[in-house]
Amino acid sequence: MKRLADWWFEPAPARRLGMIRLLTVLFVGVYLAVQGPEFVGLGTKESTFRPVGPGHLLPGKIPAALWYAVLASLAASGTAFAVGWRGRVTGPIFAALLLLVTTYRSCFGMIFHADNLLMFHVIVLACCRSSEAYAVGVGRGPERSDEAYGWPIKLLSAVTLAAYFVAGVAKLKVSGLGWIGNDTLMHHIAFDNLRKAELGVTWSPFTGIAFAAPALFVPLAVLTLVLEVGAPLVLLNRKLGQVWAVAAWAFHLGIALVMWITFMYPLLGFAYLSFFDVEKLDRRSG
Amino acid sequence: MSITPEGVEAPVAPKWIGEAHVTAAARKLRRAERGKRLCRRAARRLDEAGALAHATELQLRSDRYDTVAYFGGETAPLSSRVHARCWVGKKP
Repeated sequence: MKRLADWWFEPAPARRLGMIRLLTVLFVGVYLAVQGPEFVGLGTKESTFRPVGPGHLLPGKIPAALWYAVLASLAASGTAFAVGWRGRVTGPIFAALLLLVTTYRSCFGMIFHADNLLMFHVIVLACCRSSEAYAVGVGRGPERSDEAYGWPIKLLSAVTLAAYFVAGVAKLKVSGLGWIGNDTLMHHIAFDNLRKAELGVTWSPFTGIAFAAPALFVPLAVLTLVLEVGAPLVLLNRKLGQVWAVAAWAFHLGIALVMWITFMYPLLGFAYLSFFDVEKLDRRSG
Repeated sequence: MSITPEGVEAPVAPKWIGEAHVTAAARKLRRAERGKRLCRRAARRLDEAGALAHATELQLRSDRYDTVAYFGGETAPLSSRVHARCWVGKKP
């Protein structure tokens, strides 16, 4: 038990956790800004409101004026949390508002699963001492390491790995081992691209090329399952976790190429920050 | 699907049925299989925006394909069923 506790509460630098907070919240800002018109448009969306998850707590559609106020508050609290200003207050406010905004978007017929991992990461960062470095008033923060900065980083990695594990289990639940043995992956890719093509949006120009070598899909399906179902194991070793993170990133790059699905959080690497010594990005940290 | 008087077909992008994403658009279309109203609304939006200027007709349609063969060049649907049709602008 003690060994488990020592491992979980292994000290980590304050600057590592602070850098993860800063970069993650910056990503959220850009992510929301790029999709700004879609989020703003939710204020006047005509589609039927179909609540999911925490959306069930809402009485119904949010009035447009209130929705715009929520978005403005999200921007303000996000800016404050990004710069670490009163993080213990602005962090939870930001996380709660982000949960509201991302959930609300999923309440109109399409569930944005890709937001879930980002959301869990923001909740973890909001509920720990992530604002004690790279923050207003403390600058780069202390050089020291402490368990208070270590466990949140481990939790961020655990949440990431759990998300992939759930995705792997879901594949096995739906297709069983047929996911590996038959053409499930190939048909899945074909269906997704065909729907895009027939609904008039951009689809992958590489689909036809990939289908010229159908034998490739079996090892790719195996690798996908190993990467996802085996994910929790890599939490035990930091180096192995880093190898896994690179493999997971390559997996998303492959998805982007053959399916034209761009999950920006993992694709740009932000989902895997907790696996690396990201404080070294600040070269002055030496 | 938009159709010109000459019978040339082109897909109608999700935004014309009020959706930003293809998955949401597909779900909306499935839920509105006999969606005359959805068809008319999309036609009105296209007409007002002057988009797909040569199209005169919209069809809400289910097409079945061989998904893998599609990317080998067999892009014609195996079967087709029209659920609703409407005119873009004035009926010709």
